[in-house]
Amino acid sequence: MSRPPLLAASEALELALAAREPGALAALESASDRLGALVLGARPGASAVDPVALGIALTARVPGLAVVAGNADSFGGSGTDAPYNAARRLLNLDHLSLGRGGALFAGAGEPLARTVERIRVIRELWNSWPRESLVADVARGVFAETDGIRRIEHTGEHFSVLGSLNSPTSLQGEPVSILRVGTAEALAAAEELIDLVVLDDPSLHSERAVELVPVDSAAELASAVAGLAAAANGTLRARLGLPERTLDLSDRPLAFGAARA
Amino acid sequence: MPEHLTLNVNLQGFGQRPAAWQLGDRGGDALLGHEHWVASAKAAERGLLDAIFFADQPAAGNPNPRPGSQLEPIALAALLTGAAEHVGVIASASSTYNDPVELAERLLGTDVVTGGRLGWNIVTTYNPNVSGNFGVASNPDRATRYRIAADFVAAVRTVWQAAADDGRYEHEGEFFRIAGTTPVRSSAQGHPVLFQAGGSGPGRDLAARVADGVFTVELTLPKAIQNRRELQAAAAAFGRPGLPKVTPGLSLVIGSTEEEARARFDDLESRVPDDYALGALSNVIGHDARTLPLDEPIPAEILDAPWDPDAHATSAGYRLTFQDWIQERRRSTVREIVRDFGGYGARIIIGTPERIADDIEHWFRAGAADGFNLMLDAFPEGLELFADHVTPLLQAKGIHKREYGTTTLRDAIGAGPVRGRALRAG
Repeated sequence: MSRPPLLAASEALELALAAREPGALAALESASDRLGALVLGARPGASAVDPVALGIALTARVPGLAVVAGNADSFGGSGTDAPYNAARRLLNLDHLSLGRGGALFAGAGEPLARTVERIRVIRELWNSWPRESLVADVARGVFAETDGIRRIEHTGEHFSVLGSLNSPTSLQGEPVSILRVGTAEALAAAEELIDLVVLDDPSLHSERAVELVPVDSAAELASAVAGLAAAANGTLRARLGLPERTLDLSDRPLAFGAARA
Repeated sequence: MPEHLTLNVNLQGFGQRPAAWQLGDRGGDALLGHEHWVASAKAAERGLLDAIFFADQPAAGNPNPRPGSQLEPIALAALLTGAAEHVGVIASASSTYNDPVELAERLLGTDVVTGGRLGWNIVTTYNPNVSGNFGVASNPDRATRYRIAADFVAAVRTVWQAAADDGRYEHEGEFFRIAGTTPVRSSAQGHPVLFQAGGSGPGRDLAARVADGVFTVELTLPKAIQNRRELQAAAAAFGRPGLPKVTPGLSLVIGSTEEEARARFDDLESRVPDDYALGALSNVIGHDARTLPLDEPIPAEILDAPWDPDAHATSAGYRLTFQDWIQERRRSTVREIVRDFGGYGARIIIGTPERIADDIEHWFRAGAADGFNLMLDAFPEGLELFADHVTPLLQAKGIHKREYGTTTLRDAIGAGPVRGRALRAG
């Protein structure tokens, strides 16, 4: 199956988009229905422009645009940022892009096991509060049926996280997750964990591999989608032909008990 | 007294009243889309407010009866500053549960996207439900949290200064040892403005040293005048005259008559279980108010008991102003106290636009406040009422601006330019 391309913006293009330069915005607007997603902050290390903030600003301005935030596992800090914080801001991007958000995990600078555990924790947090619980039932005075909200109670080698997250599941279930892999071991670990992989070693092969197409300017953005048909409308999952995804946490303890006794 | 008020709005989800979600046909997922936030930002801009403020808790709270915030405020800043042209956003973020480099880069890297309209409210996080999400058994005690905060803020400012220079930073403090090169560059306002909200001794010391503005809780005028004078004198001693801007919280329920406002308040209260307000009161009296007879005063031994700052959920500064407020109500019944306690932490006015404008003018001219952090009963409609009916009265009194004359949040609140070397362009 051929997927619409994931375009990885250069720092120069990100700065132009953050400054709302008309040429860059116009190129993005005319390309938005043909690209899979714009990937922000895909380069190693921190970004000059915050990928989540720019992604939210752009998806609000450009109807239908989908955005993947790069470096979802470090954001270039000093490496100690907590999974709870990362889960929140990545899910925020998904909410405020109306179900068109994704997260690119770099998996760099730490043991594979730690990356795997971090992604697992983040995905459990993303799934700890089902959106369907938001019933807003005025007659009963119940805003949310709390019997679906779970603590994740994760205790692992690298992280200990109680949960639940303070934000419900997204319109597409959970953000599309992508991991950069450079070894067969990492590829195997990604199998059950992640939606898509970016292969950094040409000898690796995967059904779920996607390519990041670098774009440095408004002109490159336009030429990267030239001749392509419009992609599927709707969530980023729909656009990339991915199934809706959830984790079953029904074995975990209730965070707040049932809505009403 | 400054020329004009500094006015912010504390955009608490559906509204300051716990039952605000029940008004109109909002839908359960209204806080996850755009419409609610964009309408609120536009109302803030119509009222010529300086900024929208967001509190933040990195922990889930029970959504019944009061739905908490479901989004993270730095991310919301990107949406709101895109939807509105002038109003800024002040986002709370914890100095206890963030990485200083990551947060410095995220704040500044978001400030660039907002065009220089972002503020950071430094909080140390006392909510006991947070620590478990970050792999620790309990929050550090108050004194330690503020020692961490002082070092954390110094580290963040080092990164921001590096962004204005060649990007290289190095900081070695009591808790943080960082060195590296940041790719982030200065924003249109240099870097985000700093707010602080804790009213304890160490909180006020931090505010005097670094904050451009403070969110305070003041229930009585004399104490508010005294606290503002002392804080600004302390800041002046650090070479920061006229700062920080002091904006106490002010809860508002607006009606075209006093009766209409009171009826609106009573209607919203009737939709919430009685023990909600009693729970809020419990936090400040350090005793479970649900066990007290409703038609008798609070026993003196409870009000006069010594208060352990580490054993209670409320902030130290709030407890101090509450002690003064409750003195006038020692003979009131619990039922009466709970009704007056409708701000759940802030002063509340339930009344007409005229009464609200007169009160704001009185506090402003008395030197009790540089402005206010407004909390409306429900969003966006409470804020629309404020913009359309209170803002014109404040303008007529000559204490509120008539148009936005600035483009950055730093200039809007009069925080003055960033000190240090010239900022690198673009």
